[in-house]
Amino acid sequence: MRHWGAILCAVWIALACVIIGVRVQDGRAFDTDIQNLLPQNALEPLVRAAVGDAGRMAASRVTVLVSGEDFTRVSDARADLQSALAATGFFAADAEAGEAMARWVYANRNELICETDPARFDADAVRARADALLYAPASMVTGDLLARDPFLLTLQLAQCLSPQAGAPAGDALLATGSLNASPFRIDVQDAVRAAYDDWRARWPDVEVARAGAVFYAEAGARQARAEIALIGGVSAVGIFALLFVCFRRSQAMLVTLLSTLASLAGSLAAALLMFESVHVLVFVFGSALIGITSDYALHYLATGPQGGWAPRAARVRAVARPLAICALSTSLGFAGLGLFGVAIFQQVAVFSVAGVLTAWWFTMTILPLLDQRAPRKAAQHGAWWAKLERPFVAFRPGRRLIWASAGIGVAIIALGILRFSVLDDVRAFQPVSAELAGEEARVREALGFAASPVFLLSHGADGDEARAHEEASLAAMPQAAARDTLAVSRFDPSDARRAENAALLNAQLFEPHLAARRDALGLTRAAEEHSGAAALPQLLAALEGQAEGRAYLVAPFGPAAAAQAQTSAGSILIDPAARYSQALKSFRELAVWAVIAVFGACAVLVLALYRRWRALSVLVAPAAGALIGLALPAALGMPISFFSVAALFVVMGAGIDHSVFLFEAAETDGQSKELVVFLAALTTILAVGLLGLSGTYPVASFGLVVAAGVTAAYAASFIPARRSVRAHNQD
Amino acid sequence: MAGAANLARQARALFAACILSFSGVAYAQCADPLALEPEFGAFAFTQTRHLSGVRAPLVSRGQAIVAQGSVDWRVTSPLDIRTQITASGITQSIEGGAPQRLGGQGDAFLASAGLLQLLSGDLASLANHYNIAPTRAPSGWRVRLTPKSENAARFILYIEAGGCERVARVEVRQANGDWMEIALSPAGD
Repeated sequence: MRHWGAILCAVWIALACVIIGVRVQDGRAFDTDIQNLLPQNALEPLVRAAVGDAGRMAASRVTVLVSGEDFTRVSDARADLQSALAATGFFAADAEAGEAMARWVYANRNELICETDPARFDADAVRARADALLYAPASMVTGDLLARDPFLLTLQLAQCLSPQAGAPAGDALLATGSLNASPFRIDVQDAVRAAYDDWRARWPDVEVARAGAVFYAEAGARQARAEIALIGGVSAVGIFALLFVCFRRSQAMLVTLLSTLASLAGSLAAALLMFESVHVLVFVFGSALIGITSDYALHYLATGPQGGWAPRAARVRAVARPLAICALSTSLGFAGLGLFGVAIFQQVAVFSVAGVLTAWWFTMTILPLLDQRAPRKAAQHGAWWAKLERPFVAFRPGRRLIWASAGIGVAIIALGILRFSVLDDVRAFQPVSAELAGEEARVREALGFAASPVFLLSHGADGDEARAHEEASLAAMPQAAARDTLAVSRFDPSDARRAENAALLNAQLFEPHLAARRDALGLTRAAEEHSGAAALPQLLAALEGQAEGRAYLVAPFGPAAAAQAQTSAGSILIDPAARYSQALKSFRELAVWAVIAVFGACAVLVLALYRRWRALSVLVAPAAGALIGLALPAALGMPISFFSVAALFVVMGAGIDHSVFLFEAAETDGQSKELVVFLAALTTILAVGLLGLSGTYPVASFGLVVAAGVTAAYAASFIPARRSVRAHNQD
Repeated sequence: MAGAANLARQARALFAACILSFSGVAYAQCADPLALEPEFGAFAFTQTRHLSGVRAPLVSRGQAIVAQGSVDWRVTSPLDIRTQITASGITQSIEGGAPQRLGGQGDAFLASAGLLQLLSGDLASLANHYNIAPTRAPSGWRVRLTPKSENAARFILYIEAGGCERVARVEVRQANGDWMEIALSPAGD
């Protein structure tokens, strides 16, 4: 019968691998957009699309300021850099963008004005600016342009329609362009980085300052890879060394690894079966599962040396009940997450329940088949285990130690309360390279313009209505602030605004002043009426989109515009970082309730299974773990975030497991569990707790909570066993 | 007859020699244009812009104050325009209005043209941006600056600075045939 269970379990794992293999071919299997987890409302698809557009556009920009003492070298270096980046296949230089914009402005000059509100149009100012262009030093006026455009509207509009960014002064040149693929793709980052490094080696004598998401993303990815290599390496070596010292068999390590992999395959396959795409944030919980599910294998493996390598069925019986309780309570806890109606929690629920149950199934069916033969020196293994466990079993904490431990715990909690703070701001999550931040500051200084992440989203039934809404919002802002934005409607107004602008220019500029100006300048050539067609430049076209049958426009704001932003019907101000932060805040609050709900569910389950009040003492360990897990990082000055609360699920799962095994052993006078529980706690801390050393805040906070919480839960897990033994003695 | 012809030839040769020697003296008395010390202070200027299709040249006058790292170029006639060029950028105010930062190609054009170095007479430092070719002129020297950058060459054929003790005249020839000259003299002359 057991074999059928093993075969079915193997079939499920094989099927899970197939499901994963098939689904990962589909580009939608994994979702990285945190927006998709935000609460939904009627406008949400539109906002989501706009945030995606704005983010993609901002993230795709690459700017490199090249400077040096020899301008020729600087110029050649800039050209070489643009060629090298273009050779990656991911980069297109802005060389033609300026010309496309100039052609558009020239073609549309008689229907555009500098003022965002037509009521502020001042024909005298237009004439004064035109004269300034004629008489100022080295302006770009040509006789040809003056004949076609006597008021030099093209040059005026080129100055006033876009944010007031200047070109770098002195011997500096900008290499600018856009990436045609996501800067968050590893292959894009590696290609850009390699091209940049090679170029830097060729031009060591020029100074460089970089700005662009791809550089930050590459630095972040490099740091993450280094951390994975270091933390993962230390963690793996530590766990394997620990298992080898205790079990003295490589087979033990292998089956533990297999159990963990089987659990991950089951969890991921279930999530991919149930959901169109699985959010990467779910994998935060996935790492937690490793810490919990590997314990199941350890508990079974320990029955070998402890029970003198009893027959397989006897070993399975020894762990069947506590493992079932652990798996059930943990599954129940995670399943409770699905009741909150939040997309990510539903995914976590399916992912975790499937993972826990697969690990339990594997441990109860396949693992015994893989570990049924006693090793050659079985007696020696048993003796070694007993020797290792002896100090744990013999250890009896005195009253003084108990009170001291309790005092330390209370002090940590008190200090944690005093220093308690929360962090939901995503901008503070990722460590920013000081070198890159310094370089970006130099680029901004050279350009004199700093973009802000805020943008105006204007929408309507069609593009014309969206433009009208954007125009209304910009018109309500002070002129100087409204200029600090890149808005499509300023270059390509709504039909009504075009007509209004043309009428204004005709009535206040051309009709009263054009003939006189031509005479005053002595223009000998006739004006040409035909301006020629021009396509909307790609830079502007990228700011326009369609979602859910509605048209929308994205207008990125500079700091001045963001500070004085006005919205109107059909226009809203969007701060993507604030939205993400708000989402994480609501998740953090919901997760706290989920932890409480899980705790309640576990209490009901434990009471139902054991049918005695003292069984509730198994909840002391997870409770102590959760309290210390949150309090210790807070006491150390680390704010609490969604990721801290998410880590509590690991702490609770591990705490319940430890308590249940110790409690079961005490209740049934079965095999001692002190060493295996210690092993389980230590492997969890090594697998997940070491993440506390990460330089990335979410990862570090997750790891630190697990390390502190599991340690506290381990210490507290002896309480129910002691109570049980005392109750037995009294009985 | 032959003697008269010889005399005439000798007279012409003497006249030519005098002319040459005078001009040589004039050039010899002038400073080496590529060894001029940067000269700061106030200059009066007259800018004359010749545009194709425009009957009369456009003339503006004013005063430029050249200091270490900055130029304050103030047109006072026919209207008041103040252009300030510093290492951090270029601003312009019209008729006493608020200064506006200049952006776009005009800005780059101004900056890469090396107006600051040109006006202060620091011609040698322009070698980064231009190929420099000094020549003699009847009243001193001329230095022709041809842009090295392809981008600048799209707009400027060459810039020619002339003078003796300092830069007194600048001519800018645009690629489309338009040209502009700026006459400089110490303020108060």
